[in-house]
Amino acid sequence: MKNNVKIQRTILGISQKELSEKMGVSRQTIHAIETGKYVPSTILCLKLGELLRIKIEELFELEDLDWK
Amino acid sequence: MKNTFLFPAKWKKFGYLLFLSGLALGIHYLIFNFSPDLLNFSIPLWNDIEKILEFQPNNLYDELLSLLIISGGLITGFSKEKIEDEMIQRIRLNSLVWAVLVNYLILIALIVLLYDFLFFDVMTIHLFSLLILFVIKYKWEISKMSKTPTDEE
Repeated sequence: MKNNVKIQRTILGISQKELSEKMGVSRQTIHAIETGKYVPSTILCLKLGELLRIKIEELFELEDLDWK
Repeated sequence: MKNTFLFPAKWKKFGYLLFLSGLALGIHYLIFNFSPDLLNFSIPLWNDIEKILEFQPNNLYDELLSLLIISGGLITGFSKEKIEDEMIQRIRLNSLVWAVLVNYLILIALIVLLYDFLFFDVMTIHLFSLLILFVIKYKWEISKMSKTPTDEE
């Protein structure tokens, strides 16, 4: 699954540390989400959408591999 | 989802102390078969179906070491991290699955390759191997994760 978390975060000028503190997760979790190494839960996705002021459908995108 | 029981994060150092000292002393015990005399006691044992809780002499050193390893391993492996989030929980779960699979693969090999008293000797180590494998794998994954670069790097 692809995501635009890093792009949106950069547009808003928020660091990984700041975003992680607002979401109550570690900075490493934010990094893992941005690099596609970790797929967040629904709750984390909703939090990301709210904090980055973007709809979840525009933040995350399914790839062909996700359907297998 | 916060329904998992875990020990408080501040217990982790205590857990490490118990676990590592238990492991070190346990390895020493296995190699040198050393048991301090001050741990010789006469205690009620149940090692015969006809003699329930009969007082017999026994050195409690090996029991003490077993309890150190088990309690230390449980506290070390199942304490909360400083920031306990869902990714940490996923790492903990994956580490546990890995440890179970590897542990039983080792057991299968031991069953096929070892017999008689050597098998039983090795089985005493196998009492602790699941916990040891889990703690090693879990801490390795956490250590790898903590080395991720910041967004400025």
